[in-house]
Amino acid sequence: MVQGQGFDRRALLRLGVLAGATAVGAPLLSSCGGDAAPTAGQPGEAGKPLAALSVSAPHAVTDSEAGNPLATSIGATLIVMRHVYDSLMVLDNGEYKYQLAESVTPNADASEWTIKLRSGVSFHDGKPVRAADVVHSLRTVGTKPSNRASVYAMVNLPGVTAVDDLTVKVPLLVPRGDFRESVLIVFSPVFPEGMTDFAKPIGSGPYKLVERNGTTTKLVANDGYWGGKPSVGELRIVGVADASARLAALKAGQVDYAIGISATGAKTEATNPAVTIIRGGPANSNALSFAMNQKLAPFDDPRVRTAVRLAVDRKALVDNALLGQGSTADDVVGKNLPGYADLPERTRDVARARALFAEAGVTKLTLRTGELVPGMMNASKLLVQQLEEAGVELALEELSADAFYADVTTLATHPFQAFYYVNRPAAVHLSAVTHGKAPFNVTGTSADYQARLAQAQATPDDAARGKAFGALQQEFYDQGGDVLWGFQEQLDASRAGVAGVRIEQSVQLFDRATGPA
Amino acid sequence: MTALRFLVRRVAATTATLLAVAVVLFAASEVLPGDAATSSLGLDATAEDVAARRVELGLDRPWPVRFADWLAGAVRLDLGTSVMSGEPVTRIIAEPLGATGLLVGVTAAVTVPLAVLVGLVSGLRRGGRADRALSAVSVVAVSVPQFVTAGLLVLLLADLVPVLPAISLPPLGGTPLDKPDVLVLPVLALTLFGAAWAGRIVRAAVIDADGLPHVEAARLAGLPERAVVWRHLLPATVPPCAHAFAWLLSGLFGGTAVVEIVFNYPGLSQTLVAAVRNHDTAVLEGVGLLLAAIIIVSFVLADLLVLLADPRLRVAAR
Amino acid sequence: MSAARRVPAGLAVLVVAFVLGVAVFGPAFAADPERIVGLPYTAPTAGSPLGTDGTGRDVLERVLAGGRSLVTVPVVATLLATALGLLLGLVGGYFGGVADAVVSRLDHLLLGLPPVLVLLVLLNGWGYSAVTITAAVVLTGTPFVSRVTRAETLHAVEDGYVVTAYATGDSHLSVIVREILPNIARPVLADFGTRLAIAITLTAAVGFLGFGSGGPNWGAMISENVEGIRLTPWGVAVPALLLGVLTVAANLGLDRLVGKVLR
Repeated sequence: MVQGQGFDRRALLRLGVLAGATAVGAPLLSSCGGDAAPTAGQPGEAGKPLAALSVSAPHAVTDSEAGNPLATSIGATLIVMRHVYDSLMVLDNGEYKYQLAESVTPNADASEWTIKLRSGVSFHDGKPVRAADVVHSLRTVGTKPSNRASVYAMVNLPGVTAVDDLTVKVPLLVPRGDFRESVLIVFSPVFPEGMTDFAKPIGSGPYKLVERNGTTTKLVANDGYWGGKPSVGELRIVGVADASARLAALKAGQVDYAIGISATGAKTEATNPAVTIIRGGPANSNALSFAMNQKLAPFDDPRVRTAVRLAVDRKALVDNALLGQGSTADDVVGKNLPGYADLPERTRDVARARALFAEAGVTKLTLRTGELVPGMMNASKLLVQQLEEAGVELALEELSADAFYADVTTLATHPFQAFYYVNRPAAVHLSAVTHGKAPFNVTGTSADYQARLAQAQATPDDAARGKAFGALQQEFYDQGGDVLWGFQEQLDASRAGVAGVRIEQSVQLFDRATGPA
Repeated sequence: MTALRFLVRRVAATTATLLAVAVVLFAASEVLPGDAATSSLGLDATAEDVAARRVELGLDRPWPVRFADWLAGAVRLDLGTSVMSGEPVTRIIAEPLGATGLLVGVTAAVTVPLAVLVGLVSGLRRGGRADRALSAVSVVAVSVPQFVTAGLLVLLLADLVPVLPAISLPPLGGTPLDKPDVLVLPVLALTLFGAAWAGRIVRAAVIDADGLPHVEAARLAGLPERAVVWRHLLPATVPPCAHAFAWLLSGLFGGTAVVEIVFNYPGLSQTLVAAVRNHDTAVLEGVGLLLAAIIIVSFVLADLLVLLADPRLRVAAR
Repeated sequence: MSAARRVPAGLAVLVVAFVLGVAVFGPAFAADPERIVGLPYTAPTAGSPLGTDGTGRDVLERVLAGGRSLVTVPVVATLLATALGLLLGLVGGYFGGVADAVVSRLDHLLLGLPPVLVLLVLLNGWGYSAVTITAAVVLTGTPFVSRVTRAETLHAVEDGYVVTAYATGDSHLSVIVREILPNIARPVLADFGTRLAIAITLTAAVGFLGFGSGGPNWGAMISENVEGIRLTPWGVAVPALLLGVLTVAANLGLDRLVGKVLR
């Protein structure tokens, strides 16, 4: 019933990873978004429009009031952000699409990009969306105190200019072919020029924010929305810190949709006809790993890395630690997302693992771990047993999640640690986590690798860049330090009959949700 | 010693204690692993980001200097801003304080009379059927962990028989008081433990008081039982009970974290826990000192009550 | 006591003895309680009569292994807190003046620190262990015992007995032991059982608040399994029953003891 998971600090750490979560690294641009992006997720055709829908969403006490684009963190704040503001580009239905932008094109070496805006879009206050608004928005979210400022680190913000009413020029500090997926898709909400105080947020999105207090935000449909009239009239987003409480609120009829329930909760309600469990699949998941630092002994020996990979029983880890509410992973982040290199499935081979360990002379290992996400400790305990079968004695060094992340130096210098990432497109993940300056580069990538990464990022041609990132993934699969064993899928629950909710990178979109017919 | 002198001395002593609490809170925030720079930045932050943030927050200075800074502000009633949200601490605390105050107020209003009643009934009829039944119930009630009680209450009254809301959602633009049914389960979870615990203390005090010479004398003088209880027995139970209730009150203000989490109640404990975990020292000091002040004041009041309830001390004070 | 009441009483003693037996000797019979033996939340089988918990660990093994640390750590911690509180309260209440001022400041300082905060700081700073749990129980429990003791001592000092005894040449120590301690025994001891229960539930709350668990114990088992209570009710019911017997017995036993000693 109750479990104290999802506490603030962990939520916050999730924010860190999410700083680039709504991203997609698809090297091939899909067709530009039409008037209405296609409805995805569950088919909503049979349902009826809803007058009102209440949602319980993850929330941290430290969260700023929802609707401030400078301080989006988890669940509630992200959801409100996506409904109130349109972005230049978004991830929709597993592809990345233009939303307020009509096109985004690079110059020859991808050092300057030109954004053309969709015409005829207006803000909630009736004023049109113009290039000057975009310039202001990019500068505001790209500068501290915005908590997403680091996303814009590669952008020459003072040089961003409005060429005419619907054209913006964005010069970069270094050539980046992945500007669209690494910046605009990650975070590019647009709000009116001059807006610096978000007490009364104004965007051009499908919902207007009318009222909020510490936990609840009330949104009403923007009936004149350029993408079509939303199907839910009034949307209430309620921030609830505890996963069990979110589910309890649904079952008590206080909300219609619960975001982020526990695996035990999902298992318990599986047979309840009044409740529908929605699993996000690998595309909306955390990628759970045992990270080996390639720079440090004994993992500087490739045989040891291979041995650990072979000794791990991924299916058992998913079945036990995630209660089967997830899927196995194959050491590389990005599965089921654009740009994934479709790497072969790993299989367990204890005999070979044992031989490799013996060859390398490894009999003892220590794993630094903690309950970073629910199930991580259980996975670590099971790993002890699995390595034991391969002849290696594994000791666990257990820490609280706070203590685990607190010491940046230890994180970068400990050879073997439990870790997790948000599953996002491989290119975005590799760019954000495995570069030289990333403090949480727990796998200790080499300088060679980092040079190849920089080269891939700078490649202007979509197909060539896709190929380069594919090669990097293959390298990670063969040589890398992540034993990425499972995807902990987003688990939501709704009142039976609620349909048409789309989930994009663990952010739920309700503007086309419907109720029972 | 008059009550007034007593109070003046206590106010001075309380101020000193609060200062000590402030130092301990600040030190606690230092002892914890990590610092505000890492916790207020995300996982994508680089080492340079962290270093820059540390300078920005002034964390490169030794902690006594930072404490002195904070204290200088606090004296002018400026409690600083949160490193997490950048909002002033006073604003962050205001809403949860109101919510917790309400929860504690309602709980105390239910718990105290209930505890006195339970203690009185079982103490006066000790060994009887009522006493044994009440004792058994209260022993169980104090022995079950609070999160289990709370979880079972949700399971029973919000899930299996959905008559009450599972989480405490105050209406927009209102307080929990505008929708009193959201208070029922949290108050129930807190009262079960509180009334049982305090009831046992009252019971012990009643048994002791029942044997006192002046109580027996009053009985022998033929006073009606009700008068004996009200005028002689109950006042004699005040000293131990006053502290029990003060402790209960302080426990309610500072110890409702579990109940707040289970019911998503927007109270102070959650704010405090978040502040500790994020090294949000300004918020930690703000909430911590506020709680400490409430707790200490309630104990001072308990001491005062003891003083006033003791007939001899009252005579001496005249 | 009538024969009709003696039978249930004897039965109760037997049950308590059984539970204590499980707690003390159980670990000797338990295999590794942390070992993951199968899938999570499986139903009881012959080989595993209580099924598995949410991790796939055997519930029976954990029940057997999970009593000893409960009878040791919280009991020691509660005794320590009570002894310390008594000492401080007596010194403050009896000697007054500077001693009282110092004791009162210390009490108020400790009382002023919210229990949640104490727990968070101890566990985050030093990890989950018998020492940190004991420290948390002592830090949060001592000042209350001390306040109650001080108040009762003051009360007793004002009473004629003490003055008379002291006037007849008794030492401070003998006055405290003979005249004051009996007076404060009931309120302090009445609370001992509850303090013990609080100490026990504290060890369980640690898991709830997200600090992981320090190995198997009945309290922690309840918090680990309560979320899956509908999937495997026995994972909660069995440790809860054992824990309940233990704490209820401690409370009632102490009541009896106090009653016998004092009246």
